[in-house]
Amino acid sequence: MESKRKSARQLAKEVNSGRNAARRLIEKGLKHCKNLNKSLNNFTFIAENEALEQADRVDKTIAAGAELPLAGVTLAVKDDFCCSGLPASLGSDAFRNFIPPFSAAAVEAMLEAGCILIGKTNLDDMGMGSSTLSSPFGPSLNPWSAEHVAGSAGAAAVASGQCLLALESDTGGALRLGASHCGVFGLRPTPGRISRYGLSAFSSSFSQAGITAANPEDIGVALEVLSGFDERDVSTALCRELPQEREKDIGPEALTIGVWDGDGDRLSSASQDLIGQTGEKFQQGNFKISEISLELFPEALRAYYIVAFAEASSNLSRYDGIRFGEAAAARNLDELYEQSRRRTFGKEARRRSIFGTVLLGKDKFEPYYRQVLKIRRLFQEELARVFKQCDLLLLPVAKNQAPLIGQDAGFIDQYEEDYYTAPFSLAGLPALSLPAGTIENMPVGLQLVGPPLADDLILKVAAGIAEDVAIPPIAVWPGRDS
Amino acid sequence: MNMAEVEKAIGTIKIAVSDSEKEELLAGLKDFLCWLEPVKKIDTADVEPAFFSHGAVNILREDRPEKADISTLRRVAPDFDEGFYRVPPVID
Amino acid sequence: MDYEVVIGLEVHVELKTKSKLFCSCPNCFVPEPNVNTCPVCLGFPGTLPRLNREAVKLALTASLALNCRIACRSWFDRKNYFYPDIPKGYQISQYYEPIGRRGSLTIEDDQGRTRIVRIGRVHMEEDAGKLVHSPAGDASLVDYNRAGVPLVEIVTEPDLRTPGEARRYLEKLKIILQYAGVSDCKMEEGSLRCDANISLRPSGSETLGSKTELKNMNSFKAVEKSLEHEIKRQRAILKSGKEVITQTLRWEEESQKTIVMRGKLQAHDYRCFAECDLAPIELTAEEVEEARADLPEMAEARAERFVHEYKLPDYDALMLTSSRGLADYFESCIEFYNNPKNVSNWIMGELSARLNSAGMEIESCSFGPEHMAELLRMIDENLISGKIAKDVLEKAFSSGKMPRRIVEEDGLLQISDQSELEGIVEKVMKENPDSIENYRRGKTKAIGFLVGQVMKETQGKANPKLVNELLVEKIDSQ
Ligand SMILES: [Mg+2]
Ligand SMILES: [Zn+2]
Repeated sequence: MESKRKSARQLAKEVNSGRNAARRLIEKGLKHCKNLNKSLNNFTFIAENEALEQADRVDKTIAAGAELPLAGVTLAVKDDFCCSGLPASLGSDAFRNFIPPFSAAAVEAMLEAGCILIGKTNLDDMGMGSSTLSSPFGPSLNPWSAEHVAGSAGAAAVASGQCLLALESDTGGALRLGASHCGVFGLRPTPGRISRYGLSAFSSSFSQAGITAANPEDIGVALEVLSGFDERDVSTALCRELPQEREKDIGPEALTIGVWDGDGDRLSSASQDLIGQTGEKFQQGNFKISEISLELFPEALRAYYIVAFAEASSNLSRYDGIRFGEAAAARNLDELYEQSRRRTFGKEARRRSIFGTVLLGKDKFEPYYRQVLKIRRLFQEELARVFKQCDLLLLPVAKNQAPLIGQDAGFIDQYEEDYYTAPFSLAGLPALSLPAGTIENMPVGLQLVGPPLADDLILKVAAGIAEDVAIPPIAVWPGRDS
Repeated sequence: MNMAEVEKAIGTIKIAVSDSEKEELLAGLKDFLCWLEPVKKIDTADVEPAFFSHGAVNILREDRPEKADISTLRRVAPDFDEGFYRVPPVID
Repeated sequence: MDYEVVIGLEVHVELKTKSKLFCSCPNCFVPEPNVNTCPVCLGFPGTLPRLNREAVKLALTASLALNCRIACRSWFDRKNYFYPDIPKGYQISQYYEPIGRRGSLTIEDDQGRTRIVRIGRVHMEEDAGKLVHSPAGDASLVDYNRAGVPLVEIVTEPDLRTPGEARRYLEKLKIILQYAGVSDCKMEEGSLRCDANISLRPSGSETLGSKTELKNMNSFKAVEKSLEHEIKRQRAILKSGKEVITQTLRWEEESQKTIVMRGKLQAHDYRCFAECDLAPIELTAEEVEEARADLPEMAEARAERFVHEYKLPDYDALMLTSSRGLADYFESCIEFYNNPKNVSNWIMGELSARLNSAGMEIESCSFGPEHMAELLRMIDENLISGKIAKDVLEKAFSSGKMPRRIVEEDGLLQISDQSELEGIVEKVMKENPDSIENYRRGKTKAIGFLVGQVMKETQGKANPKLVNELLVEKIDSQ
């Protein structure tokens, strides 16, 4: 049945041609989504009425002769994006009933393109983490096996067929790790390709919007819809300089893929084999392969955490219980702050806020914060040198398959889960997580990383080898409705 | 790192934390700083910090005033009365 | 032991923009609270700041007008602290790389000698909201109308030595910024605010003593007074051998005393770091030079021009250029009525008196340049006397009516008809034979008395020159 699953493009084509009505599709889709959600817990809110209304709007628009690039395509949006009229928990128990007064730029763009927003997906405490284990709504389960974490609920929703596209945030790697754990594609584009306006970011430097889908072509269509200058987000100024002309048809023989085995001993032998096999497939596909190494990688991970925590301590300061959220009963101002913020943050958000405060303190600022901003520059320079030797990089996303739920890892071990993803957040490079195989019947992905603005090239290369790399069909979750 | 430093940071960032969590935070902070130690060893002499994650400069908005719909803003306020946001009495 | 006083000032000035610094909310005073607000200036999750082009332009103008070096690359940082009047838990401010550095401003010291006050930095930042107490006292109430209003902060080096110098610095700064079109600089309305750092040190010492910070002064006078008060206080402490405690004090206008501020912001670690949600500002040398060339004419230059172009005495030129509003008013009058000295006399005399007693600024005065021009023309045309003109000005000032209409409605036209005046002159002569006698005996002043009597009879409407001629003629022919 998986092979019959339509891509977002195919579906949009059917809706645009009138062969299929968005309304009929969404009625079926919602039922499936709701049924599965009971067991998977991917959605914090399913927007049934809004989805039906949007489907009617889309059908009407099509009937009026318009064509929409994503007509009738179901979309899940992570719950740290604001959608006016829909609750946005932002990863906080105190915000379960918060209705933001405006919509995120990316959400607006997707709706305008004809997407049907079916609901908001689960996330970690204030968006901090890549497992959903710290979510106030409880963890989302991996559709491949309920014993494993989903990594990201959006990826799990795409993998289980609850939706065709997911709009997700990626700070240190949640989107990419989720895609790896669930066997789907997830792109964190070059920062600035997609407006962050309306995304509640715990890190201004790193939190950004990305797309998850079952195939790279669908991501390409969504990226086209989402990419562009938005004067509400300065980082999108980069889109004003995007080359108008698309990449010319470059054959594989003209491209060199730099393969990095990812510090070997950090990975299981199965994971190492996967890189080797995928590298070979690239080679069979006529790509040139060169082996590379990255010296500053371990420091880049630490640098990411220092900057991200420092920013988290500041970005989350707006949660004071005065203009939005919940105000704790308090006799004085300090109590209002301390109790309201306690109520808003989970344990991880508290930890990051407090650690970040320490790192920005007088004695730590120079040796940590300022030092790692220098390391960021050195790391970016190192990567620029690497991209003189190759066009794209192939390396692991995750150290392994999705971790087991209940495996009580220390917080630093959890941070180490981002080992392969966070450094590219630090460097500001586009990175795609693509399914590469299975280990112990769980999917595992690999990462294709390029220089800034190589997003389209990455997607193209991924599309070229998608059929060659063994993408296993998504397993049927026992509780899944047919 | 000692408890006084942890308490100072908690006081600065204003989050209520139990005593046992404070202990846990202190231990965690020690581990964390130890984990971070390698970054100090990188030679960064003469390197300019990369303060910005984006390369944008001079992104400016035209000076045109616009009124927002304030009713939706007030609706989500925990304690809004007669035009004001209310907080416990502040002494200054 | 004698002590030297060391004063530095931090002045916050509201920029005259139409919208706020990082959002499109209107930048204007409204009495109703929390009206000029939006998700951005209320710090809603997911919002991002958007920098106002005009604010940058005005900050650049202010920096240039204060002779600063302009940063070719400057940016904003976050100053992190909690207070209900700042919505995001941080203030966006230029901490590390301000737009202007190392400027200067010239003032006179208490002996009238020229002194250069160094300006350390001019930077942009957003204003905070306003906190008021609830009538019942059970809560504080926050109004975010002002949150996000663009400010420049202008910080002097510790170069001021007396409260008088501090006051003159502020007066000069106000004139410069008004001339530059940067701000209204109305301290009473809060568009100019001043904090002062003050310390004493033994005369001849190079190191600074421990300082206190003074806040909440609502006028230039209050700045001077509070500094005088604080100098006395610190001197007494030092004389008794104790040490001055570094702290923030607020000036209480009612009691004319400083009191220690509780709660708010004593010795903070603001954990400043670059604001990545905004883009840095880069200015080329050409852009800076262009802005410099575009600087409006400043007070000194304008005074000099007034002397040359309008042949005004130095004193008049200086007075008229003491505020940009006054100088603009003068030049508008000249456009309608080209007798500069006459206009100057009337502005500095009668109009200034009216403004002072009404406590008004020239900008908000309803007696505009057209009014002034029409009034003076009527005097020149012998339609009204100077004395009547003063009454007309007073009426026009309060009603906004045109002078000619007032003259017509109130029947104030001057009597220049000889036949009409002759009878009155004869009557006055008959009633004052002594004065005529005195005049004949050579007391020429007596004629003035007689003119005055005729004016009285005509309620000031008689043409005094004509009355004078008639009187002389008639007495001589008697
Ligand atoms: Mg300031
Ligand atoms: Zn606003």
